[in-house]
Amino acid sequence: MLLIQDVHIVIGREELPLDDAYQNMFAPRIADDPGTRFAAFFWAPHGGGEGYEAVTLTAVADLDALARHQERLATGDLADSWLELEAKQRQLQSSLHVVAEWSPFAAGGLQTFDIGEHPTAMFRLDSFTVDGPVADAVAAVESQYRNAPEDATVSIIGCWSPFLGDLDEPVVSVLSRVPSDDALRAAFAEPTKPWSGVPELPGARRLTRLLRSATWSPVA
Amino acid sequence: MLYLHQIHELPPGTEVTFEEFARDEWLPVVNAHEGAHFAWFGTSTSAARFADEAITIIAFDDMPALDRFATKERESAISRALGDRRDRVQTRLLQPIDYDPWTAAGTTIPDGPRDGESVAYMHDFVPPVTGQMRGYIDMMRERYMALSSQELSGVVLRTSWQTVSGGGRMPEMFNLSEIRDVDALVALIAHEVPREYKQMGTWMWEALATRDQWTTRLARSATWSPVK
Repeated sequence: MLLIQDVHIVIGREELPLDDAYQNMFAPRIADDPGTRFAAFFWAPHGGGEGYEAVTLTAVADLDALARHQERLATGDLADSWLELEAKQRQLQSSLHVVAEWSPFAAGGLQTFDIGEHPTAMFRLDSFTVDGPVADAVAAVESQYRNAPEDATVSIIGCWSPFLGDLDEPVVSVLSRVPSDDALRAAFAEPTKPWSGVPELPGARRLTRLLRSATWSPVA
Repeated sequence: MLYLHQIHELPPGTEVTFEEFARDEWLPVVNAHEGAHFAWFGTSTSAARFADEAITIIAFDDMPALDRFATKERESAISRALGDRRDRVQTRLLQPIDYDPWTAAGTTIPDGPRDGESVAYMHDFVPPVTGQMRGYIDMMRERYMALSSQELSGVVLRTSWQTVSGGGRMPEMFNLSEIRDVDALVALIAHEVPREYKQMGTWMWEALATRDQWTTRLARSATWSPVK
């Protein structure tokens, strides 16, 4: 499975219109192509990232599906909606990734990404710029996922790396979920204590976004 | 007062040795200068956007104190040693705004390390919309500072400073806010702000005319930082 990761810096007064447009106009129609699903919509709350920063994930079956998706965005049935969304943003950083096969959030395949109402949930997205081979870093994250303690502050639910692998900037992304408000409260109560369950790649430079899922996000 | 604020981007895994260097070697050199005070040392928390960073704040009584310090240290061995311990640095020269809580509280800076509890902060750089610096300052003074601790979700502003001319890559505000109420912070972060608080006419909506961008670091003071 491939993943399009879009990081949006949204115009402040367009926060709610953008959220509404994604939920009601854009995201549901992505699934009109069987090879593409809208997977996640997150906001970075104050403290979690840049001001009015959102992260969206779109799952794509393969490059043929990606080509069809691009055609829809550029000149097809999604083009007008996409232009409207772009106009509500100051910046958009888009990147293409390969999802690690063991990632729990993608275990059911594309069909499991359904838009529906959920309570909001907290996540963290750690992006590691690694020194060595990307594959080694992904394997290290898998090992940490498989050996994670049950009472950890966060649980790893997904990992992805650049579609071009070592040809590209060697950034490995890890999505983790905070199981409850109590876990978050305990973690913030002791600022000197590392969060348990957080992926670690020694020697890598880490950039972290704390993210809150939208109530309608498939990954929630 | 003037403040030299630096974010030191460190090679991964060197945070502890950098902190020891700052405490044992850099701080004494700073404090040996008349009118210079090593005020604050902070690091990233586990949830911070950027790892492998250290933040230092040095206070100067006035411009002559800054001048003396810079004249002596701009080519000194200790400055080179500091530079050798980091990959990159962001430097800002800041001055307090008229309502600055740090100034209003009469904050005194101990003349050396002081052991105590680490304090968690939201560390924000806010570049106002170009041309709206005055509007943003007015909004902060008249609207934000009038909000109660509860309305601010237990996050209490400790400093409000702005870059001086030549003191940063763009005009920015620096707001350092102490996280006093973890329950309120979790409510702020983990749950959506009700839509009615963001509608046209609310103070949140009005404030967006002056700024809608910022970079937040979840930081904490070192247990030895002179000011916690």
